[in-house]
Amino acid sequence: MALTRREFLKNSAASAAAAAIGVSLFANQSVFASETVWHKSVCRYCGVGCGVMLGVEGGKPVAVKGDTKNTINKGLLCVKGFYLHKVITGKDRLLKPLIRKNDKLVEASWDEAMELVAAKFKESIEANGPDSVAFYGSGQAETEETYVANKLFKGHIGTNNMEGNPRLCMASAVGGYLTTFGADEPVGSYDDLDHAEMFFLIGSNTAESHPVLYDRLVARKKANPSTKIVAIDPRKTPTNKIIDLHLQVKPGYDLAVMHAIAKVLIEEGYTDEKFISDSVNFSNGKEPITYEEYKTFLKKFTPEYASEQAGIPAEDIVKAAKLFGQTSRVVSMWTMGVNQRIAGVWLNNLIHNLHLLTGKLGKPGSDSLSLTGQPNACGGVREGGGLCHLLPAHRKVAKEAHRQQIADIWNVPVTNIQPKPGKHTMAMFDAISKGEIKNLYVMCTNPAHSLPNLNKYLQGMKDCFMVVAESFHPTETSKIADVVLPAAFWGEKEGVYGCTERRSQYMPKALKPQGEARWDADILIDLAKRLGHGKNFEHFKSAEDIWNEYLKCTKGKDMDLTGAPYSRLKEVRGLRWPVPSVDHPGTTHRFVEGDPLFPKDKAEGRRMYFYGKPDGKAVIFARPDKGPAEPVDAEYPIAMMTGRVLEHFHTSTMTGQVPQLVRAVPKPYVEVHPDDAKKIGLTDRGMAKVITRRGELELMVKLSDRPLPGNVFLPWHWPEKLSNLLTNDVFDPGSKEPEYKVCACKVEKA
Amino acid sequence: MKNKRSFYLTLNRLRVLSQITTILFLIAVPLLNIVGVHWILGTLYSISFGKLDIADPAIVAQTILLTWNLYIPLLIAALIPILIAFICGRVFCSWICPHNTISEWITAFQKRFMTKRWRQYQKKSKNVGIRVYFGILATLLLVTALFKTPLVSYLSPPGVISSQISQLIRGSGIGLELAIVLLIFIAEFFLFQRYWCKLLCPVGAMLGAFHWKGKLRVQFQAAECKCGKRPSPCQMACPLQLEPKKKNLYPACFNCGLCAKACENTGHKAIQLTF
Amino acid sequence: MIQSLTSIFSKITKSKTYLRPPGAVPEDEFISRCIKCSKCAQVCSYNSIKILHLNAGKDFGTPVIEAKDIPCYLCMECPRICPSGALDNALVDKEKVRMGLAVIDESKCLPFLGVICRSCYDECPIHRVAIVLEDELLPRIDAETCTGCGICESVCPAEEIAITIKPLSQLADKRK
Repeated sequence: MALTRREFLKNSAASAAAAAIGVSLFANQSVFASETVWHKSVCRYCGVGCGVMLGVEGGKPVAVKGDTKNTINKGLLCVKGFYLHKVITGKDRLLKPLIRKNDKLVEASWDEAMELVAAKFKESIEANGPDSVAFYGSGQAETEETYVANKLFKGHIGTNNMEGNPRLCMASAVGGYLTTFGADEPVGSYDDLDHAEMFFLIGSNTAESHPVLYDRLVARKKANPSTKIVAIDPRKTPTNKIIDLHLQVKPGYDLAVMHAIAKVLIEEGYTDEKFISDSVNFSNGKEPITYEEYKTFLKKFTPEYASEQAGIPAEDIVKAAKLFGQTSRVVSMWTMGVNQRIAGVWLNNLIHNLHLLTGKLGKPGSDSLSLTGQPNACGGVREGGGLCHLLPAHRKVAKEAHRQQIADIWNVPVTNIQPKPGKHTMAMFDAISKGEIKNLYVMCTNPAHSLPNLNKYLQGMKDCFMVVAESFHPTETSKIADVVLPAAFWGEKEGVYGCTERRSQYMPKALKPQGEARWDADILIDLAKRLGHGKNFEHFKSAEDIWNEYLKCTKGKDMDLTGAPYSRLKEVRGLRWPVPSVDHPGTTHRFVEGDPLFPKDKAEGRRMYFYGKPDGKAVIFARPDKGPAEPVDAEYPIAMMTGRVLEHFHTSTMTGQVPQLVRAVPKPYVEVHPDDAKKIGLTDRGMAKVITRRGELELMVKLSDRPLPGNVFLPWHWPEKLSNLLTNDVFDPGSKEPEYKVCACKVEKA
Repeated sequence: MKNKRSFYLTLNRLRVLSQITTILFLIAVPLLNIVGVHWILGTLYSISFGKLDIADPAIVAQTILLTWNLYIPLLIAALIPILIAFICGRVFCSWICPHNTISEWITAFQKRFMTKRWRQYQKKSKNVGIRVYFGILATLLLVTALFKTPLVSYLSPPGVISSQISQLIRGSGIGLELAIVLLIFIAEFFLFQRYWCKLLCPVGAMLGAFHWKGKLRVQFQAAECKCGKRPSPCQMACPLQLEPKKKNLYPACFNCGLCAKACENTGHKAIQLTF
Repeated sequence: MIQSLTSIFSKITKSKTYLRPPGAVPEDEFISRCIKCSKCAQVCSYNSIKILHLNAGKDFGTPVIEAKDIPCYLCMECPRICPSGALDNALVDKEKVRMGLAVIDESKCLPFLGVICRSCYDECPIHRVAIVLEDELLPRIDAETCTGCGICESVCPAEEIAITIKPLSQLADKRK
């Protein structure tokens, strides 16, 4: 049987892969005979949104293969997705609720656990007000789950202390899109990857973090060998394999480089002056400025100045700028290297600047495309409004009209929704440490592993009453929880994920949940009932009921999903909003003709009209230059960077369930440049102590020329060695996203 | 110095100390290796201190026979043991070899708890003829060469024991080869005879091959033999069941000096360990 | 007579082919030369080198590497300390090591099933040379530069390990 399956996979998926990369592999087809039922779904891991088929046999998950009909991955998968079925039945699946008794987690009945949670929440809300409780959700939860949590906490309990881990991941991108274009999420889509002639990667290890997209770049380069790829990254990553020019900047010093590129673009005449006068305003962040004032601002940012700042040759900056200017179609892509920075929003703005200056936006092959790290950070949390200042469908709590619209849909008095934003993630965990927030509900995420500077926040999490709804136990967070609720995992629940390119895709329930695990939305509805808010949740009999209510929220908004009911999503490979009616095909480019929301009358012949802004003009920002919050100094002379590897995802609660993936990268390590190792006396696979102002870790050394001398790199996946004991919890004042990516450390021989 | 009454007693104490130190050393080497000390390496097949290699001559002989090739560093490594054997005889066996150490402990047990049978067998002590002795070694080496099989490696109890200690400490467990050594112990326990060290061991035999009149040896002076005990204390003391007072003591004798100590104990000095 | 006896004996004791430490001379000569002193195992900081027990057959006492458990990380400590020349004392460059050759079973290897996986490629110590990616996806072994260290085998995340090391002894006729 196993052999047949492999044969089948070999012939279906590999030929798809071959098609994707433009080679032909297998000519002969073998016959597939099996009882396997295949369910069309979406990958559980990163934000690429690959279509997968989950194979079920006799009620058990047996295989996962790429969905050849999905245009995102065309049947290709990465190694994590390929083993998804093994995660469902992983060894650490939590099967029964756990309650802390005498400082030990013991099994309990659902009723007992839920009664305890409800009693604790009720007690705290009555004694200390609704802001004494908080919810911390996830970009990996379904849109439906986040929606129910949002409705319960913001609309019924009445607290805006409702956050999600995309704060630690995408908040700066949100800030960038909102400030520049007046509307969150990308202008273009993945379709642009197949037309671009240059890719500009900034702080993105695409090859490991978004492997399928990397393969699309490879395919594009193969189809069109003149395609150029330029990367700005402090580390040589596996992505380097396909790049033509690498600006290996000092960690945290790339803002000046972006300005210098803008300066060269203007000076060399690569700007699209008509586009600028039609669709662009200028600002210094406080007030509007003129184009001329912007040019004056740029005077300081010569390639030489940027070169000095970033430690790269000035010629390379000019070369990159010229490539950007000369190439007619450019897609910029970035991830955490840009977002997880104290100047995250600014750096996002500066990337958009280049596209606005050259008009390389809103047409096939040109986009400023932020890649997402989680499968539903865009769908559930950004669009669903799962952050402390948001309401569903790109609404803000601070806006009276927005509160009113949502209160009507939720069937609550508008006074239930507080107008003041709640506590963002870092403030929330700070308040937990200070005892201001006494009850925390954590869903589908692992903050005791993923928050920066953990030493500061762990005690607070232990002290507060923490409920963790999670499919796996133990995780760093479930270990210190007071109640752990077994949540149904991917494949055991239906729902919608929205990926990087505004595409919402449906996932079916193909399996019964393991043990007594329950769907997260079901648990939240149960909690709502026990807290006395049952009336407005009773009509949620299925995921579809929740989705339909959510669609009402999106009607008429920039992210209109009205045309994407379950009945349609089940058939298609996702839809890209705005999709205002069931006969609308979805939108590949926003703010241009073809976008159903494009106001032709207002645009008056302008190619792009940014309808999120009152005058339809996007903004080019003259942001000051800013280095990392914690530069290296004599005491802590080495810059520490963090990141991911291909085989593991985030806190490895999922990938840690798959022995094959653990085998591939079994141990935490620190990448050190051989020159530094020599100086410090470190040997390959020996031990080193990495020390920052916040903590220290003993790690295995991996000698590598990937980081520059003076830098080290730590992947953050392993619970036994938490890199976040070392990271800096200072955050971007705009997006409140912490600077995980760079801090100062010293390295010693252990 | 030889006239000092307790000379052989002291010598024997030093010998026992050396035996115990050897065992501790064999445990210490792999432990040191694990913590990263690599200037000292090896087992009793071959051991090295920094750049200084020392190898068992029997193994070196086997390697030559198997490869028909003279690997100079290996030949040099055999020089120190050969030199010692040339001057002092088979003191490796009596002072270092853990197999002999354990055998001596077994004999001590028999002497204490199975006294009657032990005395019975010990009285039957007999020397081995030189032809028999080297005949066995020659046969072993011939088989090794003909069958291209490293027989000496299998049949080197000090090598097996020391490498087993190393393997065990490095976490690889113990293997079937230890059974060879155990089999020898068991057989000898029931036979009350130390045939292995006396006759069969290729390691000892190879060291015994550097046999000449001028080296350190047990020397019997009949004129001094006055204790008059029967059976004679020197014979009863010999761990290999040899007769120190007779000829043909070599090459089987490994110069442990226990016969001289027994003689010294009676107040005489008929048996001396001298050059 | 003797010859036929020899052949019968060697048939009885016929051994598997093992992956030997770096610098090992050809298998037949290696078996003859190795004096079973365990030094190479003792000097190995990674515990990659294990000494065969008698249970494994007639090659007991000789060093082997089980690449799928702990491969050779090519620290090059062992060849120089071998007292008998069973490992080439003069070998110091890891690039020159030829312990065996990695072989990919394409029916098991994930990229050949349409799955992006680069574990072997990323970990290969002769980075980007001994293993190359055809179309940035399919791993191919470069027989000229592969050292046979087995790191690829140790990290392969395929359901059944898809990249294995064929020891030098099996390849005697295929490469020098």
